[in-house]
Amino acid sequence: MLPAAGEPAAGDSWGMLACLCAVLWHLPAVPALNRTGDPGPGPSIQKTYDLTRYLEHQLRSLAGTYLNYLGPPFNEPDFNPPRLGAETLPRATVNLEVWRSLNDRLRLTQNYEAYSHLLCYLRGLNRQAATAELRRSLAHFCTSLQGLLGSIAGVMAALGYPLPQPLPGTEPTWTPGPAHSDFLQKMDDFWLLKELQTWLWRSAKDFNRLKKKMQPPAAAVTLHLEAHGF
Amino acid sequence: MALFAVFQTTFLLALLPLRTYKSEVLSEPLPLTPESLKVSVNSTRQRLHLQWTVHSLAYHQELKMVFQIQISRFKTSNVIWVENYRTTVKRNRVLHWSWESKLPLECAAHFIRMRSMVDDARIPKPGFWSNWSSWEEADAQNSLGHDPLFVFPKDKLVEEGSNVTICYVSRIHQDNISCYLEGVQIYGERLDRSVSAFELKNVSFIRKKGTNVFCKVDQGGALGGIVLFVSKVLEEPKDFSCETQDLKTLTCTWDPGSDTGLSKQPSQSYTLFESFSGKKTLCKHRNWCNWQVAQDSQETYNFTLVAENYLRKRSVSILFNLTQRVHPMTPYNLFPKNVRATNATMTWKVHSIGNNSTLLCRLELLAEGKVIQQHNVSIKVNAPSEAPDVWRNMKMVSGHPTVSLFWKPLSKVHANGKILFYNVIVENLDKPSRLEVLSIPAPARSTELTLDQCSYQIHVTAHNNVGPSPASVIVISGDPGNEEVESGRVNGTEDGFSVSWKPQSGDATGYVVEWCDGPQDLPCVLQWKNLGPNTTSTVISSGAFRPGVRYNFRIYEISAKRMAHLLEKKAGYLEELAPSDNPQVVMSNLTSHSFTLSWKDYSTESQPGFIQGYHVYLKPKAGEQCPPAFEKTVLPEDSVCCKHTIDNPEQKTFVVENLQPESIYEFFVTPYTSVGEGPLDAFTKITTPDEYSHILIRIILPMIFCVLIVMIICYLKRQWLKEKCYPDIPDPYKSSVLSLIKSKENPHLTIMNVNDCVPDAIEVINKPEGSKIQFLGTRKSLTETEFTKPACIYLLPTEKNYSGPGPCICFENFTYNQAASDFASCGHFPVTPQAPPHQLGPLTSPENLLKALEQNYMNSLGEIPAGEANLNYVSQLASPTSGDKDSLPTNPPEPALCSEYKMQMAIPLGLASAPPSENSSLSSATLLGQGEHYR
Repeated sequence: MLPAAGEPAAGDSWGMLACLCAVLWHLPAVPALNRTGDPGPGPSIQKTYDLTRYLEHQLRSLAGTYLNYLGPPFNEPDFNPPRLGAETLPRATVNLEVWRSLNDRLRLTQNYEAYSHLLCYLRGLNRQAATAELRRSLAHFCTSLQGLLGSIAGVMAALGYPLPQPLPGTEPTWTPGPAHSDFLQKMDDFWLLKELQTWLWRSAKDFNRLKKKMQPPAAAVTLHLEAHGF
Repeated sequence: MALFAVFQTTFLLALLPLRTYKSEVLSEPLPLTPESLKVSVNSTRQRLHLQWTVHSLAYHQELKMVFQIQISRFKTSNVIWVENYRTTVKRNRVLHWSWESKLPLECAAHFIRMRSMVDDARIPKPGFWSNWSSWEEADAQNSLGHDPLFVFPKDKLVEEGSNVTICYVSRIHQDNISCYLEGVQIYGERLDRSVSAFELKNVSFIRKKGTNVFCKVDQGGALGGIVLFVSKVLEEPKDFSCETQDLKTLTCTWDPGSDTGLSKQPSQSYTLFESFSGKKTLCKHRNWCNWQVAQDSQETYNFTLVAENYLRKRSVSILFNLTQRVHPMTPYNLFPKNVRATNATMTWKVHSIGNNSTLLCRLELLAEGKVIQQHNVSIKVNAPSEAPDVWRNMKMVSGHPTVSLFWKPLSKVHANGKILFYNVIVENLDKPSRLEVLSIPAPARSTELTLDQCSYQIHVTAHNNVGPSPASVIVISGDPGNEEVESGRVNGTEDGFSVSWKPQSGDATGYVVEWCDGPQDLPCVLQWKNLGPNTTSTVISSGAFRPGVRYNFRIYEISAKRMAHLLEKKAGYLEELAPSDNPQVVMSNLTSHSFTLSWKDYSTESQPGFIQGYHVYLKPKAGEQCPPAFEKTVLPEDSVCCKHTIDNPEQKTFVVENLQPESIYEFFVTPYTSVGEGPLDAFTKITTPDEYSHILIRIILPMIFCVLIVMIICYLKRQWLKEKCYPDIPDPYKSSVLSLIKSKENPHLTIMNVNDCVPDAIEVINKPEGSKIQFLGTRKSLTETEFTKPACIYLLPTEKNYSGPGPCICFENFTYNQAASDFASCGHFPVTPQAPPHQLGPLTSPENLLKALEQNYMNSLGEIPAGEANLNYVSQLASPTSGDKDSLPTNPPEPALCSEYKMQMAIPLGLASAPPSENSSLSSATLLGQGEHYR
């Protein structure tokens, strides 16, 4: 770890000793080596990433069941309807450049807001489900999604970002108006599941990116030592 | 001609009314055209609603008319429907007609017009059509948005097997639009440039969430769809039947068939309707329903079960007699009893079925799996057949009338099974109020009610599992009424008490005799006997009756209003006994000739017999005659005494007069009943005072007073008395002479303290010389040798318990070494004889002291002539000096107070005057031992 100092002169031996002492003195301040202190947001980001992957898997099974319950064409694999209605659903798709340019805080805030809304819609879906089996699956998924939301909130707190406050009266509801036909309702359900899937995929990417960003490279430690020691 | 003219006139006159009528009804031109035609669209039901009026009719005129209605689609020329609608028309009445379109109304504009014609039998001439009204357009398309593709009808609910027409409206080119039913493409008919229709025939139920139909533009991406809700056809409930197990609840069951529930429509509901009672109930379950059987003994029931959903209503009815629909519950607790070789008794229990029902039980005996015997047993199950015997007791508890209700358990014959509970219904007779119902579980036999001043009617019924008994009714008046009635006595016999009474009013419906079985026990166990209206006497018998107990009977008359009035009170003893105890007699007003006896606390009620009076016994002084009111009698112990009889049990005081003063009398009071008098207790003694004792008191009191006065005077003059009787003894310390001497002569002059005078002892010891030599030669300790005379004369206390340092007088011999003499002066330790020796041992430095003493002593031995008698003088006066106090650090005891006499006289001391040898620091034990000798 220490840089090679060449052949030291006789008078430099005291200097070397002083350096060593200084290095030892500053060693606890190196974050990468500080095993006893706060581990930082790294582990919680990893956990959130893992959770998104798990939810992706869970949603695949749930969506299959639910779309079968809606019937064709919603359960057809190539069914790709235009987004009629469902305008209030948070969109996961975003321009790649825009996505790349997002800072950590905005990235996390968007995730948090999206899942808050999606969770609320999903609970509305659960209330309308006719079969007990479906209600049970939806309730289980809602609990998992609630966990993801808490996990994102934990990451934001670890990074020192405030949680977005929902504006009063803008609580999203899943109560279609009288003009909302059953077919459009089914379309909304379809889009809810589709957006949820896309959001989970996007979140996995988001947290992967965040995870990599939060891992400091080993070279940085060397530089740090140099700066303090000499 | 004239005839013709008359005929013509008559003809014209005959035609006139008809003409008049015609002109009223069908005045030319005929104005009966439909007016104010309005068309409205109900898209959900796909119906067109028409409403119009016919204004031209005369007032109050009614006419049958026919309206021909034409409906065109897309354009007026495309007439799709013509219908004649016949109805009775009245002036200004709005007429209605509706038409259901197979094609959803949103898919096409519709045009409607109509015309009318009189179709009344009163008009012989066939009518003719009026002109057509103008076309009215019904267009639901106006409400559509700007989407490229719409599919209709939205969210339609149909039954399975129906034919449904679906249409779409596109705002784009139609050629590349394809429609799908559950993912399968369907082909329809193009109705218009932008509208196509598909007829779905015989639609079937697919899922609760509905059948999806959608159309899409093949390349454009536009998509529209509907959900068609196909409900299963509501079936008529099958196997509808009702039965009861207890004649209280009817359970009706049926087979509901398929569930018609969808996410658009809840499952079908079932309602049970009974036509005779007009009641109905909404069933909570799909296939069964409970119906509470009314208590009004309705026998025949006509039930209609109605199944209903949004689309259809189905019903099924049954008519039956309730008793024909009884399905008894299985008997239980079947046990064999008394099984013998050839017979056995079987016991079992059955669930009762209403009142007065008879159950037929079949008992089968099986052997090796085959029935070998059958027995039919008929069992009748009834409600209790008799009303419980109820009585009440009224009392006031904190200002409120409180009624205790008592009832007797029904006999087995009347109970008809186990009594489960008693119902008490309280009804206010004075003001209308809600009935208060109390249910008291058996085996309780009483309850308490707190009422107000109103009158109440109380019904009590006993219930077994079949039903209630007839009610027992009593009425309680808020006003307790006049309780003061005639009291009498009743004689007890072996059979009980024969109680009789005089009827008061003629309308009594019965009598009740009430008493307490154990009157001395609390609370009273109330007993009562109900008697018929014609009864005036009865014998009250009870196993609880005991001789010597007073029983109080109260006889009530029950009026026609079921209210009880107290008639008489009777008291009696089954058998009277002699009084068991005597009264506590208080004596008062004692004079030399009389005294008063009283026993007012004595209760005559609680005695084992009716108290008839009292006997007062008086034992006068021996030989003295009885006072005048007394008569001489002989006591059971053969002593003679005087007796006076009081024959009034309420007289509880007696004055004994004509007594002798200063005499001892003994008295004793005992009650007596018809059986005898009370137990013979001890007599109470009393002494009559002296006749002159009061005079003595008149003398003694002033004397006491005088003595007191003298004592007070003595107290006040105590100083004077002291000086006269015992003056103070002069104190030498305070003497004036003392100060005079002090000032002139010796400043160290002390005054002998009288208190220090201790009786001294003087001892003269003739000490032989030899012993001294022996002492010196052997140097034995003082304890081992004879006692040697001390140099000091000790002033020994005579008291054994003297503990302080003893004063001593040292006669100093100046031939002694001064240093030694200093030691010797107070070297000894005057101690009490009781002091333990070890306390003194270590107090000095014995070695040094011993040596010095020894040396001095040896010196003195050489100088002092031997053989002289020694005299030890023990002075009686030892003055306390403080000079030598610190000579030795002995503590305790403190150094003795010493008086030193120097050069008093030349006394040849010899050995006797020597200091206490080498053992001057000897342990006090030694000294103590010697001390004993001094005494």
